[in-house]
Amino acid sequence: MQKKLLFISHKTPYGSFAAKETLDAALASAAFGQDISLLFKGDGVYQLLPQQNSSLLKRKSIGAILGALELYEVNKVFICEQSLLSRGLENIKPLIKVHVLNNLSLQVLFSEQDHILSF
Amino acid sequence: MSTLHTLSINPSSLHSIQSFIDIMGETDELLLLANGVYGALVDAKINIPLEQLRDSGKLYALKDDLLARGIPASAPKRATLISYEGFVDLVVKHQNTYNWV
Amino acid sequence: MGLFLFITQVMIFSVSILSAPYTDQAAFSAYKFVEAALSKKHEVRRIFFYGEGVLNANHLNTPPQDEINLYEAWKELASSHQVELIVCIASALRRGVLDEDEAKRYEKDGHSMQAPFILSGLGQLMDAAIESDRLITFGS
Repeated sequence: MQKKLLFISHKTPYGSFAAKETLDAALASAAFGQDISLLFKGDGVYQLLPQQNSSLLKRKSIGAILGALELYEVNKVFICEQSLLSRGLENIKPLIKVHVLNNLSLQVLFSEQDHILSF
Repeated sequence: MSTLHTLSINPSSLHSIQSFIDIMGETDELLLLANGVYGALVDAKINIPLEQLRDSGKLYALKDDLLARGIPASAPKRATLISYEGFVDLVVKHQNTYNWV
Repeated sequence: MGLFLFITQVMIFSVSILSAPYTDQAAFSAYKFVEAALSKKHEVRRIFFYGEGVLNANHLNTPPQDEINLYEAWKELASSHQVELIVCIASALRRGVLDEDEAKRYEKDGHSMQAPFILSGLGQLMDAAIESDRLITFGS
């Protein structure tokens, strides 16, 4: 049985391993054929900044993992408009294609889900 | 179709509690637990955004976590105090659960 | 008609725990929640320990006697109510939570995890999501 799962990533890309582990979980569930949505909210929006250079931290690039989403056919990738605005990031060009959602659209997104996995 | 929202960290350490409240749907509810119960203190200015939820009866707080922290049960006016069993009932009542981070 | 009002809805729950044991209250809250769900006759299928949460499965954790031993409490739940305790292997290896097989594989001197905790992959989180009516996240 296919379920609708929403992954919400709230953490900065390199402040902890949470961002990487969230994306790993989302990719794994996509591989299991579930109906996946992924939302970047709060500090999670920093993961979309272009031109990251994680090699300076000897870490795997979050950007590279984001690039794999398309490969796994995770196409419902969203970003919270309010989180972008409050961080002055509304004019950045995100690393990957994301749909910007306002509060009302977020409410709709939440109401459609079987489970919300919050990281 | 509704969501149970849970807040288990102190509202003062959330970047913006308003940004979470703004995405709550009409029939959604919020449960404060663990350090989140500090959100039940009505005199704290940081908790002003929660007033609207209190007024509409959509705010719950886990009683054990409140009492453990020395917050008198009478302090959180209009938040409904519940047990862990009540927590389970809220999870059953709502279609999904979203933990605020 | 009136009869139906008294029939309580029995559900299948699963829980994921994301925080380390002494970072916040998440694992304790999760434990109390699971206990309450079981007391209300719900089924709790699986606890999935992920990220920092895998540190809850380290059997070398040795809290002082006058503090709650959550590790033992989880073990007790596993045996009394067949709750599965699944530990994400990728998260666990990174944080030094290895069972005997993994310790051998990586040529380590000792191991830090054992049954009833089980190392497995993210597929187990997905199975839990598919099989459960409710999936609740504790910690961050």
